[in-house]
Amino acid sequence: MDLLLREATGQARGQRTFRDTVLSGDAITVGSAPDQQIQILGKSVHGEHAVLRASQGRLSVRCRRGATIAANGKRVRSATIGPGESFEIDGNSLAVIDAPAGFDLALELVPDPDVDASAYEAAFSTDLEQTWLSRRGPAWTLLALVLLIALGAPLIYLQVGDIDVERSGAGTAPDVLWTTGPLHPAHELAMGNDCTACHTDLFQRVQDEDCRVCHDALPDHVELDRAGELQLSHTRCATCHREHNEPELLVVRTDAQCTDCHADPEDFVRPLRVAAVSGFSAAHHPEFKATLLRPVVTEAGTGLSFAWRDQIESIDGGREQSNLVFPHDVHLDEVKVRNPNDSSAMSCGDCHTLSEDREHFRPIRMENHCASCHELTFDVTAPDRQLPHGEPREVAFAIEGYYARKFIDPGQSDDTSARRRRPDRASTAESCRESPSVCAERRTREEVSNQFSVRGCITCHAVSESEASDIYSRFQVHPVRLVADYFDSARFDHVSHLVQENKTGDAACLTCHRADTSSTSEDLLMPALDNCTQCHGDPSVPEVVTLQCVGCHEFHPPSFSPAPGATNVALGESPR
Amino acid sequence: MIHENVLRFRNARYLWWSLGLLALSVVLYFTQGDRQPPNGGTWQGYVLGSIGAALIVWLSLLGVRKRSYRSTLGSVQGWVSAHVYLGLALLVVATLHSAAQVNWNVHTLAYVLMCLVIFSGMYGAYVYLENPRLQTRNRAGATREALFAELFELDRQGLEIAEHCNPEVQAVVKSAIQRTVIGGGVAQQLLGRDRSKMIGYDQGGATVDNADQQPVIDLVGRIVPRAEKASEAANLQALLTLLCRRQNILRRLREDIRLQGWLKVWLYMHVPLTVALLGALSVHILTTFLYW
Repeated sequence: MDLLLREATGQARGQRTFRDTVLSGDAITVGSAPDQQIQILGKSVHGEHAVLRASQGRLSVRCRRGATIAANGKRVRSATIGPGESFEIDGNSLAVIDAPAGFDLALELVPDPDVDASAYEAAFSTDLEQTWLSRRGPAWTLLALVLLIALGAPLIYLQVGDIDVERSGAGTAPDVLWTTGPLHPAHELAMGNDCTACHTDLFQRVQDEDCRVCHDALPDHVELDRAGELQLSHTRCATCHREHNEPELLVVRTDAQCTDCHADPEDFVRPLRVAAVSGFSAAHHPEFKATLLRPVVTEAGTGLSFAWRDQIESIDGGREQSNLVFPHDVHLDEVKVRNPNDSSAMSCGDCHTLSEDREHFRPIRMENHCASCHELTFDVTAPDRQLPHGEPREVAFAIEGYYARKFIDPGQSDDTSARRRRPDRASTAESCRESPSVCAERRTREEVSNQFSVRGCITCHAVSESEASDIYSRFQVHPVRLVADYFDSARFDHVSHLVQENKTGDAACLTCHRADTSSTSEDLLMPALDNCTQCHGDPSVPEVVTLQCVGCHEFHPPSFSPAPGATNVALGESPR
Repeated sequence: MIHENVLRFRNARYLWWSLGLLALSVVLYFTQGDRQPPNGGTWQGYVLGSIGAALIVWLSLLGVRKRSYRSTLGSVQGWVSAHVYLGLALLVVATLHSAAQVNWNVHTLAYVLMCLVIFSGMYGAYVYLENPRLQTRNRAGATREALFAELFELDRQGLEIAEHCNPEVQAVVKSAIQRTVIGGGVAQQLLGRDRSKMIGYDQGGATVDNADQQPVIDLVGRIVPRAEKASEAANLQALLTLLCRRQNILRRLREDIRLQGWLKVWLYMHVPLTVALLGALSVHILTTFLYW
């Protein structure tokens, strides 16, 4: 088409002046760029703004992408303008006027008088806003991706519930994205990445029941039925057992976990006499107290009946009452006592054998630990004859039987008597001027009385004598009980203390247990707190081996059932 | 007068705020460890995390504050100053909160997004301090609008002078003016690359490269001595002068667009990543309590 462009160029003598230009082509371009056939300026005039075409005597205007024109008071992207009508592009007025002969159309352009050449910038893409770059699109996209992957996928997985992640090819459940750190290897081995093994309900902290699915046999700190009575609040497993830590940590061992409550136990354990403790030093830890045994003696028939009760006593002034006569100092004195086999001095380990728990000791038994030196002979002329141990009546029977035979059949000599005869004695044969049975009975009475009140049993045992004329039940040996666990609320590893500074062997034992100066079995040989604090202290004490509460005490009360044979009772009796 | 920039706002008031916050965070961090290793799950970790989350939300609000022209809640300059210093402090606060433990999880995702936002912000702070100065120097005190107005004038005059040249020269010069490209796509704006074209002289109307307008200047310069008339020579001489002035203007404009591009381009990373970070932060906090 041929288009006549009549462009207003200014005013002259009150009249508008125009410049005419002839434009030809199928389509006439309008815009602010210099290559446009009709160049107009304006802040919102695109470099290539619109394309004009002739359409049956009218002007068809079609805007480029993002551009608009104002026609009939509306912003439109395309319009068809007839003669006498006009449209605007950002203040530039374009009116279709009657075309002179030879032209298809004529257009009168009145540029926006308020626009100067500085608006030329609009012809070009000079700002990143005009490029494909966008902030909003990527922002929403990224937000959607984050929410979908990090929240949506795991939630859907949890809602559906029965997705087999192994078979789905995903390899792992999407809620593993929520983990805050690696599991302890033991838990990871047991549960893998199954978060719901512990986190059973959303927004709910891990419940103790979740732990008890596997750890069902572990005793609680306080028996649940006593917790109410003691007005104790429940301590969650996760208070001390924290998962997802780096480095991994399954037990929070800090003293503060304990002293939070135990520094001021008056507040919560009034019914229990729990001493305040805030650390491990003389100032912060109560003195040690040992659980000792006390016999409760009552008369029963012609004899005595013994029951045992626990009594807690401080180390200083605490006395043992085991009914055993045993001076440690004599036994550790190499001048007085030596091993019968190799003549070496006795050592602690000869009697005290550590049990598998490294804390307690195997029971001491007369037959195993005493009999090799302390033979139960009663007649020098019969050194091979030994009395039975542990049964007083049997002792009387044995003595009676021995003397009856001896007096009734004196010719039967003891084949060892000659060999064991003492040089100052001419003969060991006893004479009997009465009937053998009278002699035997008299001699039996003498010897039984001897054994229970002069030498023999009485050497090691407490014996009481009743008025009974019957020698079989006249004497009663008091039962012996040795304490197996002096500190039942604390643990102690003897093995790691077998070497102390430069001491080993018995010297190491004697560092804590002053047996070498103990002359009576009433001495309590347990060490006091200051013995431990020479080497140990809580983390606040400098230059010592740090000892935390859980180094000795267990949160979960130890279900201390002595190993078979390691009873609280050493000699003869059943466990207390 | 001392050059006033956002970093020196009110004697770098927010620098001291940030340093105080950092000192507090470091103290909090190092008081951990008695119960469990330092991480976001200790009470100190929760405090550090809360500070971090509050900082992220507040830092994000700069975009809102900038658009609230009627707000009297501190000056935008003060906000930007605090935004820069507290944003830098956030990097330390969040690192201490996480105890530098990273894994393939939403928590590390939030941390990584936050780092990307902060690093892009560091670059942004750098160009905000550096580029306006370079731009002013490049435009020799003029505004960009003035340069475009001058260019428009030169274009108009150039086309007019070209009218009086022989048709071949006219076609070349007209095409050189009409096909001058300023700005353009992302790469062209940021690299200041010139994709201008023109119709080649004596090449049968084929289009040739006119980068930096040097080909058209060279061409006119070659033609000047060949002018047969004095008027033609004067015309060409005027055209040559004009094209050289135009080249200078175009160079300044391109440099201005390039500097302005770098001044803004980081925001196309900073803002979407911030939105993603807000999402990841929400998921981080939520999932911490989903699987408590």
